[in-house]
Amino acid sequence: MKCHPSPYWRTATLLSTGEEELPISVGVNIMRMSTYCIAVQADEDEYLLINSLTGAVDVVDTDVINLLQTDLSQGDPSILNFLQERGHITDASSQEEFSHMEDFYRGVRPGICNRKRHIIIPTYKCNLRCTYCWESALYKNGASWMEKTLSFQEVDSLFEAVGELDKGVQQLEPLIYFGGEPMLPENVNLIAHMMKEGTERGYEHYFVTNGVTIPDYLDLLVSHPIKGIQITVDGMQSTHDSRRKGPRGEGSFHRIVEGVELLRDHSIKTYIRVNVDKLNINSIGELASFFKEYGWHDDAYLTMYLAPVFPHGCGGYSKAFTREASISGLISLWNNHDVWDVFKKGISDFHPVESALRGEAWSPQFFNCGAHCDQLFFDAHGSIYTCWEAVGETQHCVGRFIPHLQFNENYKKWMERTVFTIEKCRSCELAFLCGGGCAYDAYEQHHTISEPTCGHAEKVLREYIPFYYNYVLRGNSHSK
Amino acid sequence: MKAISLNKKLWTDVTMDSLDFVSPDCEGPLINGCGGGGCYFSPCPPWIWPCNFF
Repeated sequence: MKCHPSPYWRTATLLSTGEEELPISVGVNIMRMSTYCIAVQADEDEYLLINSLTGAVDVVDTDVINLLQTDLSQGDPSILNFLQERGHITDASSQEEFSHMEDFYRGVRPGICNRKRHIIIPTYKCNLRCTYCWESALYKNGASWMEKTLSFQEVDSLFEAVGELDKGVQQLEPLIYFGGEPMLPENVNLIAHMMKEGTERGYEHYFVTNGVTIPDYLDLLVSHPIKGIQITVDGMQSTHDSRRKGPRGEGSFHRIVEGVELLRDHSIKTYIRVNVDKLNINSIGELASFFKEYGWHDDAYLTMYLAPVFPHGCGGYSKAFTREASISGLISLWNNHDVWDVFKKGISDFHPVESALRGEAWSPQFFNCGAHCDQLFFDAHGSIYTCWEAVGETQHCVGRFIPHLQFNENYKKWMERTVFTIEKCRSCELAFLCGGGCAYDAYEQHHTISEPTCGHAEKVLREYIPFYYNYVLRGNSHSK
Repeated sequence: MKAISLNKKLWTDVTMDSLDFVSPDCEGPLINGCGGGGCYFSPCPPWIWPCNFF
């Protein structure tokens, strides 16, 4: 029985009868539906009740949905108790629910965000010219700006700043090397110096590299504690080489595959990222077959994952997905058996609510991403940023580490962007699923990061969560 | 009426002292947010979710 035309709705809306709430007495308390309880239809007589405050995800039938929709007093006491324990019905008002969470967040924020992840951009220079690279917008700053590389003396300032930020931190995050390209052949000595200094201070190392110069860095990789290497492969040779090419148009596919094989030989954990957009989405199946043929999907040291390419700024890459369209596009890939085999693990990071579907604890999203918490980029010019997308854009610079660590007024703005400080989030039922959306997108759209960017969380609920539950968890065939 | 919990343990049941914000043994790519030529699927899960970055 389908009781509603739409597979997704907000229970709070359903219960609206012209009054704010439809209360019911359970025991001595006046109960109502939690503002943050959302029902998603998973099957004809099956619904997922998702509470973004408590993190409860439960499977209920149409009768329970009808109970929630009509009169709670008619409900089986055991069902009402269950709903109350899971937070789907509550005696708190909507405002109280939000305020309780805000109080909790204020208390735990320091513990959450004190341990920083330091991402080092030794240079913006790169030996590839990928068609969709957002950093290509930085070429407007000129070649010398792009090619500026940290000096050894500046590395000293970097470690002084990192040391100051990590004072008293027990478990250090790995140092992450990003770019540009962090593994340029001419920078081996510089990177060796940084890895030595970092290792002596107790850090592990992680590289986000295009992977074309792995042989140049292999000695360093095998002689230091490596947390992982991220390398991008965008398709079979013709597809990949048309996207990830050198300054003269030369391809990179073979060098990258050889590099990955070298890393496998040395048991170095490697994450293969596949950037997906409208141009290569139809060739992902072929790439998955290639990964299987090489045994990459069975290798404990390799993890493959898909990553949609999103637009970056006005006049950006035209073949990118919108965040919303990426969900439908990527779900459409799962018909392919090889894609399923190779990337099934990779899909598990789509949205944190998945962990609840898998039976794990899951928490509210107080903010969108690490840019508002623990993430700091140190670039070749001595500037500090918090957002991957914003690096090199001076209007988003949050501080300097040369000559000494100093944050500016932007830092506070980025750190304080949460669902509690974005006005529109304070009255949004989806806020704790969404965290306010991407700040960089907000700036592009509204010239301020104080606005939310909406839509993604709703699309996740409407399309992705039922898909994940039915096809990934329950293994039903996907025939869309 | 049917009502079954998919995740019996809620984050509110976990004490702050035992939270493993970033589990070193957790599988998953480092870059859940943006980086390396585009952005990943969704906003980075902010905390508790141990697969945040590793």
